[in-house]
Amino acid sequence: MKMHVGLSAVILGSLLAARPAQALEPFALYDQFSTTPLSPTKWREAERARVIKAGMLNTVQRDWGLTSSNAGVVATSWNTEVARPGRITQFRTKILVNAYEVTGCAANSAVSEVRARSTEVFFNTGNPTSGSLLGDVLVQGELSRSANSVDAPGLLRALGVVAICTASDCSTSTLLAPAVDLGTVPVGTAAEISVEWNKALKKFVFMRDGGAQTGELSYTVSDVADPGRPLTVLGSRTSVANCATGPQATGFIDASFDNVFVNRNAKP
Amino acid sequence: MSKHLLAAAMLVALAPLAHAQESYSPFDNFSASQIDPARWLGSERIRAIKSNALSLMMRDFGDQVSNSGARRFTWSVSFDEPARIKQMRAYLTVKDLAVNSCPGNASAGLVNTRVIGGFFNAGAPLPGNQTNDVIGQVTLTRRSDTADAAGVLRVGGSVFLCGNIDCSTGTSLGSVDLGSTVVGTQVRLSVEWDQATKRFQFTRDTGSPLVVTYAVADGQAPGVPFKSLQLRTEIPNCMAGARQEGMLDAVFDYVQVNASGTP
Repeated sequence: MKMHVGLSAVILGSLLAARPAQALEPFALYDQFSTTPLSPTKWREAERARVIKAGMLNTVQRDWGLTSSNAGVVATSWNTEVARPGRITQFRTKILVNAYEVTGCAANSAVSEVRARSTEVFFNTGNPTSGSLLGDVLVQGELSRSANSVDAPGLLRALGVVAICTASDCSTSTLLAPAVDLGTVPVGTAAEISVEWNKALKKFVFMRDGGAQTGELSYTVSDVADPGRPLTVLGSRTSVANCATGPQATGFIDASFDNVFVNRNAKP
Repeated sequence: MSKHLLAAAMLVALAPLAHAQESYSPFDNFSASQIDPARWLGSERIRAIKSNALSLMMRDFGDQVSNSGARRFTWSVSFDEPARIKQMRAYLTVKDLAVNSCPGNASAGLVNTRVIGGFFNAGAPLPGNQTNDVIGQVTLTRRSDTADAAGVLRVGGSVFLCGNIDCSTGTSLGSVDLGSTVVGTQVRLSVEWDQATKRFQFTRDTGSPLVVTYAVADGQAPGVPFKSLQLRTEIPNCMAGARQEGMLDAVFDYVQVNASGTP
């Protein structure tokens, strides 16, 4: 019987493939995951979660600072982005921080911080470039905890923050004005945070728990250009101090979001 | 005290209530079991230790703008020092999966749970570029066009020569068939690079290793050195009908490497 050339090659390949061999070295245990968190000395990535849990959007993020330096931070965002944010000018959500951990480095003046937040980009102050955040104004309503906070353990600070991005990915920015302080929120307690852009009056309005605490930030920069990177997200961010001379610093936050509302004209 | 707080303005308010310019409308109260891809970009992910094992989960969706091609996603945890690792072994369990086809798209859907690495480069490596990197992987795979019964996964090992910077194209250097398993069943899999004999060997459970030999040069480090425990989805784009989904929920445990590769 004539064997098809391709078929004979496959069979020959299979025979070669079936040849047994011995391992070069013995195997040794690397990780059996019997302790949490994921070890930063074994694995490059740390914990993440983005799921619906208990009827809320739950996001979990852990990150580590570098151990090669006593300067700077490793800053990482973990976001869930609104698919079509174009017409959003008002955003309201309930934010619940279930747990956090944030440690610093005595030899590093940079401060570790964790945040759960909504972030909105409504306009650009100059000539936007499509896809770039440079010149975009980033507005955040957040629950934040820093490693050097003087607040009692378990308290987060509710803040309204407005910054102008000075890099295409907004890895650097300048505050447009001092942050609005909306008071403290305990771990395990939800706070409803609203962020509103009032273009007519050139100001942002931040509101907590239906108006229990409010604050405004006015601005004078141009707001006529659309953002280079329209953006509305729920998520978290860690900024973790690098530390060469002490324990490796970490930032961890487990937060849930619920009851998201937008201005009526922005609803899909 | 945070820089934000240090800078905190005295604008707070105890001040008059602000009034919204527009009334608010509900956007999402997350009452569904999954994140709605029509409302949100960024679907489900888990990377965590649960019940003394590594849990990885991912769910993604194809595009609805054409009936051709597929979207591809990976979700990993990667060994911190991959260069020292030549051999990897782990226990893998696929707990759940979803993979489907688009009637108008010839591309099949695929979900893949795997132990994978870039072991060497067969040419002149460029940092950050996978061209000519050689990838070895041992996999649990389910395709949307399989004739297998529901819940059956194919087990295999393969070696691949990357053809471009992100290894989205390339050439197979060989593969082995390690049988099948089913969702919920733990399988021990290993992939080992034996440079001295120019071969990869793949082993399932306590079975005999199967070997793929290669003839390409193997003296250079890969352009993208990595060794990972990884999930992958390939989801066909689909203009008509429901948005196509790819989902994997898997557990990895008791990871071993060559003795000189441990921290």
